[in-house]
Amino acid sequence: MGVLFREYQEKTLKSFVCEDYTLTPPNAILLGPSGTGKTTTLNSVLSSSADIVYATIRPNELVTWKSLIQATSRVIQRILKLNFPQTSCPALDPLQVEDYFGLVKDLNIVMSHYSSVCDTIHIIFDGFDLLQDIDASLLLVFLKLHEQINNGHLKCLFVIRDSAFVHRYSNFGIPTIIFPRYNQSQLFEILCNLKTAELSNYDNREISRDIVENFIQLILQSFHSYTGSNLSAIIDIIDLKWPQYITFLNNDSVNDSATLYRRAKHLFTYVDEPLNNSTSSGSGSGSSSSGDGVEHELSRMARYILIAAYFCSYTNPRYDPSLFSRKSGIKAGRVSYGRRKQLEENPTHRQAATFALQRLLAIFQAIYPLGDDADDNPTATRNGTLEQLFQEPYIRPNIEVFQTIAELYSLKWLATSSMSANVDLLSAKVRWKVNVAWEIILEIARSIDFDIQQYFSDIAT
Amino acid sequence: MSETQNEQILDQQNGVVFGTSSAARINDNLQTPNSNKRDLEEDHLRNEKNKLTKLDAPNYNSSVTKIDPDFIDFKTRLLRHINQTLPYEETKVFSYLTETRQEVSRILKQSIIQKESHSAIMVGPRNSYKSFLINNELRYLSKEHSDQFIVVRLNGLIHSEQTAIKSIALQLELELKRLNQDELTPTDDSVDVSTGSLTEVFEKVLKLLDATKTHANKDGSVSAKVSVIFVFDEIDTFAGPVRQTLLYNLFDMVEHSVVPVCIIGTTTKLSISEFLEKRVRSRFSQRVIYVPEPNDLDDFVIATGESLSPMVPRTSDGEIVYAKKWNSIVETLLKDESSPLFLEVHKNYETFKSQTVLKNSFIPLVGECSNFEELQDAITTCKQITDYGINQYQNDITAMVQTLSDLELVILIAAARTILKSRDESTNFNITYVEYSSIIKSLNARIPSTNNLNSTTDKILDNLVKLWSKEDVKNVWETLQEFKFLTEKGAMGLRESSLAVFYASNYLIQTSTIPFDLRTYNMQVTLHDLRGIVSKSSMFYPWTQL
Repeated sequence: MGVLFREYQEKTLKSFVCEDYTLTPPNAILLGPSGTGKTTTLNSVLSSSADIVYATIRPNELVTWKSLIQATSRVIQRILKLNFPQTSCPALDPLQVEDYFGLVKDLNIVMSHYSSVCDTIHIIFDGFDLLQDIDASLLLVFLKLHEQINNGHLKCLFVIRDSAFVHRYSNFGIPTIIFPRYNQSQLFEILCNLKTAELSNYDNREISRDIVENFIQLILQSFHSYTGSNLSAIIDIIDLKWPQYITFLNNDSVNDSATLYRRAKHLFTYVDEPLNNSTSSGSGSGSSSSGDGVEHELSRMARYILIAAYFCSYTNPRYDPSLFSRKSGIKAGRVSYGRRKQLEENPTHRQAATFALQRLLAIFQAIYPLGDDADDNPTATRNGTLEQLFQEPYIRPNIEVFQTIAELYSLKWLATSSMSANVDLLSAKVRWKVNVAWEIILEIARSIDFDIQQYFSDIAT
Repeated sequence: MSETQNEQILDQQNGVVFGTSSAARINDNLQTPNSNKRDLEEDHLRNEKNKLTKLDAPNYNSSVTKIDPDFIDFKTRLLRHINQTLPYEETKVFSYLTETRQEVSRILKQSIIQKESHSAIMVGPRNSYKSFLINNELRYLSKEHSDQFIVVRLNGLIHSEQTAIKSIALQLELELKRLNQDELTPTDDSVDVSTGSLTEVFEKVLKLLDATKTHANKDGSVSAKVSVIFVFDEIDTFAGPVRQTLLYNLFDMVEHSVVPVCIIGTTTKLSISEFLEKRVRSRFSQRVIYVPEPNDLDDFVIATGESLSPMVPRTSDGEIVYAKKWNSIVETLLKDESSPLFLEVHKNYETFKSQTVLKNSFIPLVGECSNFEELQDAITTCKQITDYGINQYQNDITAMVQTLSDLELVILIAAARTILKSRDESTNFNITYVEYSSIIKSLNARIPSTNNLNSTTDKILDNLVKLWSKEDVKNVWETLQEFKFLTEKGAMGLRESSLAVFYASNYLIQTSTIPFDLRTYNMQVTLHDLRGIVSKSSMFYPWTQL
């Protein structure tokens, strides 16, 4: 059975893959984004001919080029042993393959033993560009590997997602078969083909094909723009939604698809990804979820420091006196900073500006409410007494403050502008910046009842 | 899961076997003396021929009731001809390469038959048949003089300087075994070339090269010396910035060795002689062979004709008829300047100017045919070649933009708009989302909504464009990154070598600590490009300009 909408690719692949090495070019590339049927088509072609000896390697399970070549040696030995158990060949330790030449040497030895029964081996690299430590010279090695094998023939088939990766090698003239993305109607047909049987027998319930197909169509219409043509993503959504959808099925709604849709409408309005709890509550748009700030598990002081750091990064230092000073003697208003320009865009949408640690401490001192703590503490001096005049109204940067800053740094809520991993954090040269997005700082501010929006009232939308 | 278990079990088994000494094991394994098989390919091919015709029949012709064995023979021959895997006498070398072929042939003959030492470097772009010419000549010479030379093949992409020495030793060892297999030579020290440290190995290699002479002399035959031919692919990788010891020693060997040594390197670098160090360059013969390209369209068409029409075989009559018929069809089609085949060749000449690209499209054309009429039809219409060309373009930016879903497209447009507005040509997710929501809001404002009039009715017939939440759009943002429409600012991309990857992995990169929303991106398409690609009927078309 062929693969739907992949007739051309299948046909072409058949002329590039053949058990006789003399009839095909030594390498071929299958190129296309994920979920376009590359592996499915390749497997259907390879399994249609019993004479092709092939081994599959998944580079995304391997990290470095070394483990890739070791896997190549191991997989080829295993596949030959499985296919030709009667031929004896000494086992070579794949872990001793330390470089490309080691691979060539091993393959020569192995294939010389099997040369009487099998002279062509196909290696499939499923997702070659997904190797984590991929570099530009690795593909070249495998392209040229066949020239170094004397005792047999090696054909490499590369399944690649990234077209920019292949374009680097375009002057090598490697035969390439492109797998374009499916469009919506093709997706519908494929999904019907794939899922109807499974869904209509879900949970031992017999459900008619019409309802299943209607459901798939609804899912596609609602979520195609969200998933794009990524087949596996749509299948995930179908698997997620179907059990909920069939709970709305009863005797009335079986024949009336409009009623069914109306009842289950919320299923088609929100994505409901399992990871995304705030939207699955059904409250609507997920942006205004409440109470999440507590989950960040930060201390009260850390939250204030973070807010202070946010101010440092996103407000202009010129406005600091008017924003944070409690002294009335300082010139307030426009006199101190001149005319404000209307900003073109919300600065919180841009990357954080850097600041010196001193400024962070100053703003933190200004916004941190020391008085609130004093209320809870019975031994503290009461407001309005003479003793209070001797007491500092501000928190001093003590060990606790620095500890919290260090903690935030290690959590990467705060960052330094320096690229290196070893920074002298106390050096005056180090510039700091906040590493938190506007939505999260809003949550944090809300959790301690700090109205951060008033500071950004003229710009934040 | 089960696979990995199997692997582990196998590995464990391997571990048991590896108790024995590895050197002895490898020597045992290499007893089979057929390593020069590639040079002796024609025998192999002939033996297999009968087997192949049987294999091909069910593969290509399962649907056709009547199978013409002659046609299958011819088709196999044609495919082999296109892939250049036919035996030497039936291989055609392109006529524009004749002079180059003669030059290569002269060098090889001088060193193999007349026992002179030579060195030469062939320079030409990728797929310009450099290695093919060398291998072809070696195949020819191996027919008569296979006992008089040894071929050592190295590839700069696969071998480093250290492994190249090991590889030379190993290949020499095997080849010498092949040459001496009739005589019962007692195992002496020279057999164990490939063990020991690198300097030891290299010394042994040099000693061995001298010793081969005396070895062969015991025969008392005319062929006293054995020439050693080094075929270096990508020779420029050995001509790196540091010391070039290997090249120095090898070129030195050409000058001083008793054994005739011939070094033929191939490279794509035009300035190869500038790569060589002074002491290396002075030992190199300065013979650089530039592999020509077809001069003009006529040359190119002739070359295409040659690559499409195999020599008429001397085997079965049916095949001869097909071959003659086919060759004349190709000839007439290429002479007719309005035929689809000629137009395809012309198009290729004006764009890629590459026989390899043409060849890649010929293979499916021939492979899909199950009888001669189909083949004749296919080459006359050239539909498969056009299809192949169309398929190649289904993954470029234009085609990819056209496959994007509504949401993906509008996010892409929004990002392109913000890039155009920004000062430093970069954008981030936050800004793009704001732009996106303003696009959707103004789009919805224009749509006359009936729902406002009677808000009591169910909102099932809502005709507004949906505004996806910021959380959901993040998914689309990542999809666009995957398709390389967006690339992170300052991203390095693919590193050149594994060493560069290793160094890079030791540095903490600052961008990884920036929150998702704020990472800055550059775009690979501009808004202007999008205006050309997005169809005019799309509802987002008006937004493709500021």
